[in-house]
Amino acid sequence: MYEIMLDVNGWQGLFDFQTGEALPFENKPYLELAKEVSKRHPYPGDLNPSVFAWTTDFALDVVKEYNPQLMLISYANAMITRVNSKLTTVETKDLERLVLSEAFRFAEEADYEPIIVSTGNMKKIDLVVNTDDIEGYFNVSTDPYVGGIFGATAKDYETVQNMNGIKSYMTKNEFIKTYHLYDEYALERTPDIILFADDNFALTNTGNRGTTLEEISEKKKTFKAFSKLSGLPNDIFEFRSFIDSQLKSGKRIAVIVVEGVDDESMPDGSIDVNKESDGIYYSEGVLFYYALLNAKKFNVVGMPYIFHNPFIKKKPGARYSFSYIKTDEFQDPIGFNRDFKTASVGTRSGIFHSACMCDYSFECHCRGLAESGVLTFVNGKNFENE
Amino acid sequence: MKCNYCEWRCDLTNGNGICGRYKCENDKVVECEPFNWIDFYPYTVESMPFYHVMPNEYVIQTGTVSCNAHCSYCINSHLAIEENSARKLKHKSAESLVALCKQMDCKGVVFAINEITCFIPSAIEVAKRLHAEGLKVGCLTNGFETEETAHLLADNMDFINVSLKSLSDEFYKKDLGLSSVQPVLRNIKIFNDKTHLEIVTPLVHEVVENEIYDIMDFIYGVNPEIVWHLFRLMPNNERADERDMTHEEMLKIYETARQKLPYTYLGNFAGSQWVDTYCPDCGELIIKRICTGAWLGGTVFNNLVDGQCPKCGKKISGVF
Ligand code: SF4
Ligand code: SF4
Ligand SMILES: [Zn+2]
Ligand SMILES: [Zn+2]
Repeated sequence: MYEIMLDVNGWQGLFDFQTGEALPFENKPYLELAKEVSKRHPYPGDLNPSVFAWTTDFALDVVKEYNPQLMLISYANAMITRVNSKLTTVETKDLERLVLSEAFRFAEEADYEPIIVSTGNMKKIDLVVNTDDIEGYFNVSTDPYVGGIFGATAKDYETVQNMNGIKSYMTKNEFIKTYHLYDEYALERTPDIILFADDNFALTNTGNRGTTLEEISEKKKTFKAFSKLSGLPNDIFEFRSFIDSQLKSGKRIAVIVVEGVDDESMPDGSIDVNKESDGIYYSEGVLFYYALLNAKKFNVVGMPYIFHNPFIKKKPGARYSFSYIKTDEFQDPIGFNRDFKTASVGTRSGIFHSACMCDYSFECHCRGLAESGVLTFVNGKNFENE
Repeated sequence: MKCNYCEWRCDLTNGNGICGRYKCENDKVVECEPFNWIDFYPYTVESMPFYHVMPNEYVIQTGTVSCNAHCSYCINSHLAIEENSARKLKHKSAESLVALCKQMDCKGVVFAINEITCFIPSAIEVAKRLHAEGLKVGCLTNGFETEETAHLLADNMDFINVSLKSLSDEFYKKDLGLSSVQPVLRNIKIFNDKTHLEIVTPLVHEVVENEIYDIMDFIYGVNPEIVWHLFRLMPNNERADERDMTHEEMLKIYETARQKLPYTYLGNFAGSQWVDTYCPDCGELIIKRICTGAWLGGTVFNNLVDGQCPKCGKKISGVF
């Protein structure tokens, strides 16, 4: 049994991970830990500066109670704050310093070998492709330089041939062929037309409920990683095997993702890591976490696709209601059914637990800055014989 | 020259009034930017929220900017209240909005992002076009329209959700920046008479302590079959100073209200188990819903048969 536990400011509910159906708590001792730890750390909110300390304190509490060999932590709120607020350079620097000091506080207070990775540079949004003439439903992807049109009209196929700021486009069929998509889940999420922006242009729509973006990720092929462990790889797709080999040698590993920390602010001694493959930038969100933790490219079977087609959930039997994006086949997530203990704590809502599926995966539950407390994925199967 | 869309009845001779969305042109009140929208989002109709309307269908949610009120816990304050000159609206004619609905297999449009009072003429034109194509249209409003606007909306909207935050003028003055709640109460009756009405009441602690059951009685007096959404606020983002109400307190209100208003729901938070519809006559579970995160949700199953309880045949009010 895989379960989702929600803690909404004190109220706790248990749900089936796949169907979303409510479950009784019954006497499952392994849930006590999730209940207690969540209760001790009510979520302060995505833009609340205390969210960084919340993440560290939560993670330290999980270490104290569960003591996993693999600990995953994501500090997403510097990125979230930079995306959503107008910040001065000084404020941005302060934010970056705060995240890193929290990451090191965790590393110092808990006994782990930390691997600290950023997601790459961010920049103020500048030129945005004008998509007003598109008649279909225009939606951005995880990558701010790629967008798509669902329900494209005949006129849309003409419009995209001559759009300022668009480098190239592909039809659904061309895209499927180029990237060898065959998974049904990915296919149905592929837009009719895929747009690729020029490097200095961004593709954005106003976000959920009309919010506008202040910053986006820079179009750059590398991000930074820092660790005292030797042999840190310089390609995002090699991290998984590196982490696995360290774990195999008995080391206690903490992978700490610090989103929204620019390259120049990363600790001295950080190395450059490539995040580009076949023209796709694994810069953020689903793409980044699956690439880093599971060595998965976007086009493999069962991989959540980079576009979110909001209409998919309409289908009967929609699953993973609390998980944003998830397929039925678990693609060897880093924390799933290992022969050692795993746990995660993070503020990358919806994505982090799906990508790692640790024994206990804790995260804030947010949709477009509206918070609904703490969500925990629990791999009950792990505890069945206890 | 006065604007008569809402009870402020602003004089537009020297400026754009309180909402800033209308101007005077050739002795007529016109919108500053007609058919210009903030964006278009396909969402389940449950997410608006409308619970007794076309279960699990998708609608296009749209809106513009600004508001005629100033709520202390507005979740859309970035659009409704804050000035942002960089924000650019997108032009989309009524026809192309209807076409988008059809392309995306949406059953209609809901004006839900900001206050519909800020763009009445555009909204009514879109409504007429949608109806001509057999599609539906609804809106969210704070209910501060003038009586004539309320009738105009009631005649053109298939479903309306009014946010009734309190019964006290004081509260409306202090927390919403509106002069009085009386127009809202009057318009609720107009909407109830002419169209499908749902009401949202955020559970703010001073309302809970002083008047939540008075609000319940008011709604009961208008029509016991009105759908009433009790909204759990997340203290962390909507009202930083809000005391964290216990779940038990909210549940007690929900249970009490259901005795009088059978279509009462407690939602706006992930995982809520108090969002299902039971038949008021025989108790049958008719519609099961799911709240997936904050305001988002959908229907798990809908057992209505021609809008009636499958067990006893009771007609359930709504647009089914
Ligand atoms: S709709 Fe706007 S301009 Fe008209 S009366 Fe109301 S606040 Fe004033
Ligand atoms: S009436 Fe609605 S949109 Fe306007 S300020 Fe209040 S909550 Fe915001
Ligand atoms: Zn969050
Ligand atoms: Zn019945």
